[in-house]
Order: sequence, then structure tokens, then C-alpha cells
Amino acid sequence: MSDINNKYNNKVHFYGRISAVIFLLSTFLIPLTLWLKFGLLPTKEGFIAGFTTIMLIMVPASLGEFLSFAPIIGSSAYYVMLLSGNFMNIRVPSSIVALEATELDANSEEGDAISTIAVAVSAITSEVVIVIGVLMLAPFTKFFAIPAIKIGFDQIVPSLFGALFIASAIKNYKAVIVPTVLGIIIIKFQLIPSLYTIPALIFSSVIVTIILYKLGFYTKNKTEEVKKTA
Amino acid sequence: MSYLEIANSKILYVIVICILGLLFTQAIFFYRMARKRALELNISSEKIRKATKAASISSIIPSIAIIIGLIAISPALGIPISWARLGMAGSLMYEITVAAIGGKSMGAAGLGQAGYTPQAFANSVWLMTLGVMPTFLLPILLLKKYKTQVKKATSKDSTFQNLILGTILICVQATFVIPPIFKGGNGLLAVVVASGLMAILTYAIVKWKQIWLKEYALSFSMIIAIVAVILFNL
Repeated sequence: MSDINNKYNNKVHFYGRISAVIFLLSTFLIPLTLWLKFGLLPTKEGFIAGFTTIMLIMVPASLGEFLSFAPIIGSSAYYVMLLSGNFMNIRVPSSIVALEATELDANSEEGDAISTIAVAVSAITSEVVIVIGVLMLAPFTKFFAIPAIKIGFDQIVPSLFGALFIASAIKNYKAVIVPTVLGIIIIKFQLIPSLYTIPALIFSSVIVTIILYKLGFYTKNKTEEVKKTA
Repeated sequence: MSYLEIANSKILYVIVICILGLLFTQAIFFYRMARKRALELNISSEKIRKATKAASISSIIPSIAIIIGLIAISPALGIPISWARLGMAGSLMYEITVAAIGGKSMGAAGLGQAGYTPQAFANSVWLMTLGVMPTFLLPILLLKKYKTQVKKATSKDSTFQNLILGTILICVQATFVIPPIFKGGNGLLAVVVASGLMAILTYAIVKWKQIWLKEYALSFSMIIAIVAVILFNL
């Protein structure tokens, strides 16, 4: 890695970490205010019971998210994504779309910059939409109380990923085969609790893909294409 | 003072707006840094504009889903806390579950239901705040090292690198596409319409060189799929 790249990379992690720590600490202002200003605290037993349950869910889920998303999103983009949340349903898709539109990949220096621009813009857009939502909560509540509208908006995630999936399949149909077949097996037969489906599918798919790659499954066509072009 | 009066008090709004200010500051800071970096790497302003437009357009509809989540939990948690948890740091999928666990572990029937006392509310808030700790700590401590390892493992062979990253990406997508296919109903309708339309648009982009469509294809497919589900359920 060149000196300039290294310098930029160090800067990204420095500011990323600082901003994440400051933000995380600031979120504690809410429960602290409930405690110190209003005297609201949970009981010790209730807190310990709840804390144990959520850590049993959140530690593996966060680890899975981290291992899955860090390779496909730029470093600086990851820090921006941390603060604005909603990884799967908004930030990761927005980064994918921006990288697709500019034909870059997330692990190149160029892709890292574009991915960050995409996630930052996505974060600002989301927050503006949510502020509008908060200001207009009463009319929105009426609108979304219409059953058909609510059912429609409940399908955002399947439509989002349905569209992204088919785009991936058209772009590289061979790469889609392993995750799809393993995904069908894992999901159809409920081999793993749904919370861990993503990391389990990634782990198994990457291993099978590496084996098939070594066996020449993915490179065959390329060699034929090169021969044809020659 | 009831707990809901506390949950909707001015001081909590002020805190949430300050947190939102931090979020905006960081996003703008990184946007400027990345834009400068992109120009240094000879990425044209046109490409940056394209990325900005694509990211912004594709974020609008999923963000509306957060408003629906906000409508669902604000009667139990108040507006400022619901806003902070759903729109910042957390996510629509986890926060509602964590808040409900907070209530249940204090003996309530559920979020905002029978037995949801002020203490149960405080428990939900503490657990939602602490619940994102692993999400924050992992990248703070390990992102730099992990990214370096990923690059090292894949950098020797660019075909292999693209294949592995592509596989990871497709796994994420497949996880959300496969369940509605088996379940059927509205989810299946949404997947079929969105993917069918996306296939047509992708064909148009490749075959007829309609490159401008790239920025709109995803949002357009998503909106039409949602409209189709709404019309089907009217």
C-alpha cells in the first residue's frame, strides 16, 4: 500500500473510531436522563434477565453482521453506517447501488471512497425523511393505518433484495448458484435459527465457492472467452 | 407524571436532536473526506454525482419503513426514544425485539401491554442502548485488522477477490429472497414483481446501453413492487 493510501487509511480509522465512541457515549444520555432526572430505573433482576437475553442474541448477531458486511463495504463507510444504523435494509443496498452505478468494487481505493459517499448521503437522506416523518406523525399515522398501504410497505425488504438478487444473477449467474442452493437447503429445512442464517450461509458458501474455484468451475468460461477473443 | 409524559418530555427531544447533530456532522465530515479522496483518485465529478444520486434515491423508500416502525412503537416508548433508536445506531429489525424483551423480563405481557410499568420502560431503554454495544465495539477494535486481512487474502488474484466478495453479497441477498418464495403471499408477489422489473431494466441497460437507468433501476423496481402489493390488497 502506498504512503498516501496508508495515510488516508489511518485517518479514516482514527476519525471513525473517535466519532463512533463519542456517538455511543452520547446515546447513554437518554437512559441516564431517565435515571438522574426522573428517577426511572429498572429492577436489578429484570435488568439482568433482559441484558443476558439480548447479549445472547446481539453478540453473535453483531459478529455475523461485522464479518459479513465489512468485506463488501468501505472502511470509512462502515463507520458512517455504525452511527446511522439500519445496515441491511438501507446502508448496504445504497452502497451496492452506488458501486454498481459507478462500476467500482468496494475493496479498491476508488470503491472505498464511493461507498463512503453513498453511505453518508444515504444516512443524511434517511434522517431527513425521518425528521419529516416525526414532524408529520399524525397524518402519517392515518395514512399507514390503511391496511393495504401497511402491507405494501412491509414488503420493502423482499422487493429491495429481490431486485438486487436478480441483478447479481444476470451479472454473474455462476456466482449465484452456490449461495442459492445452500440458502434453499438452510432456509427450507431450518437447519439454523433465522438470526444466524446470514453468517452461516456466507461461511458455507465461501468454503464451497473456494473448492469449486480451485476445481476450475468459475474460470472455465473465462479461459474459453479469452480463447474466443484471441 | 406518567412514564409516557416523561418519554415525550422536551429534554429527551433536545438530547435526540443533539445526537442527530453528531450523526449529521460525522456523515458530512466523511462525505467531504471521501469526495476529496475520490477526486485525488481521478474519479470524475460525474461519477460522484451518479453515486450520490443513486444512494439518495434508493434510501428514500426504505426510510419510510422506519416511520412505520416509529408509528408502531412510539405509543409505548414515546416519540424521541423511538426516533433515536430506529433512525440512529439501531435498526428497525432489532430495536423492536430488544424493547419487547426489556418489557417481558420485567413481567410485562409485551411492549406497551399489560404490566408495562415505568420501570419496564426504563429497562427497554437501557437494553436498547446497551444492545448496540457489540455492534460498535467490533469495528472500533477490529475493523482495521479485519479489512487488512481480507485484502491480503484476496489481493493476489482479482478474479478470486471478486468471486468471494460477490458470493458474500449474494448470500445477504438470498437470505431475504428465499423465505418469501417458500412462504408465498405478499412477500412472493413483491419478490416476483421487483426482480422481474429489475431483470427487464438490467436488460435495457446492457442491451440498449441505457446507462442512465442504473441510478433508478432499483428504486423503480422496488416502488412498482410495493404498489403491486398495495393494489393486490385493496
